[in-house]
Amino acid sequence: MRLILPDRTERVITTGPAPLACLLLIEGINPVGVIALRDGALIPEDTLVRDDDVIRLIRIAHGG
Amino acid sequence: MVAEEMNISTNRQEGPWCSRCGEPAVFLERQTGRHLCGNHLIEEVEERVRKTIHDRDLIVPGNTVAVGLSGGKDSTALLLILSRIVPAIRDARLVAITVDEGIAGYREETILSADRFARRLGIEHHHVVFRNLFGNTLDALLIGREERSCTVCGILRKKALSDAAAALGATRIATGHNLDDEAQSVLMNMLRGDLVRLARDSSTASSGRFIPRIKPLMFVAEKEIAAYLLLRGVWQDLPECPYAHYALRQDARAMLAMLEYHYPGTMLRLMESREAIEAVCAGAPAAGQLQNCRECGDPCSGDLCQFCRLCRELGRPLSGPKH
Repeated sequence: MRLILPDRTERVITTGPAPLACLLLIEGINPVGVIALRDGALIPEDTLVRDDDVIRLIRIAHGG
Repeated sequence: MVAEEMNISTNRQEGPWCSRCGEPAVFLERQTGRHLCGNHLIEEVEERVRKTIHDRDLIVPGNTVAVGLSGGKDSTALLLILSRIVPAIRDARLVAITVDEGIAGYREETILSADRFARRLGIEHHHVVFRNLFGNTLDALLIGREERSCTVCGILRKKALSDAAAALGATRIATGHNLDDEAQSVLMNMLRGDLVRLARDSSTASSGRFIPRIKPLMFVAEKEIAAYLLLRGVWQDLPECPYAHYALRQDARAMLAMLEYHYPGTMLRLMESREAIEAVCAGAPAAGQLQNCRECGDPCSGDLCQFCRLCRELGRPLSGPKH
């Protein structure tokens, strides 16, 4: 899986199919604080993601 | 940073599926385990706000509601949702007020976003500027006291917004405080041992001496707001306030995010506990009695209001608002 972080840097994660939330936690990212997009589509954090997925994270910045 | 506008689709996927209709889900409601598709997330967020307004009489017929529109995600979502709800309330109307504190490298971008959005919705929009109101920008006022940035900014923003709303004849001030914000405030007041703040809701309980402040998004989580805006096609990837890291709130936020992940519903329960404390303390001396500030005459809980106390601390008068 190619993970595009909120600061636009990227990480490649190859673990086989796994719930996105688990992979985020391993990377030190709390799923509560981010929104995830796959191919431009919003996905829930318990979505099963695969090695060929490209996931973009948007950080939910504080401030109204 | 150039702000982006995103159009979000809900392409076919392998699951999870919406608990209500079976369409591809875009959101997991952690507390209940329900999944929601885009349409149902939008519907439920708007309905929750409508219910909050209705059950608590936040907006009643004839109200002029001044919306504090910073251009950030919460106030943008608030204005969008209220623009859909308020027309159905007899003789109620909306105006938007944007406060420009003069935070370099941050506020310019959010103000552009606010301007664009208010224009798009066709809502009357006013600006107030710290430099004009108080003689200087927040950046300048904070030199040497950055660790108190959120406190100073909060006092001055509140004064600016209140005075601007009063000048416009507003009968309600609506701010975009969400469930996360409210839960963080509860936690912070507990950590500070501030029972008075915990027991006294600063919103609609105005004793008729302030314009009541309402928080229609108080039961909507920050993540829901972000998802809502993405689905509505009005999300803007805007920077965070450069002073945010000075605040206790940042630590409270991180702590609550961790707790919310492991124990879904924590934030909602904190909110409910605050309401229970308010109910128990209602009318008690510890909840505080309103007096008049001996400097400016504004209602306050001590002998000096927060604004006049801040002026003393800064060692200089801050010019009053000019309208």
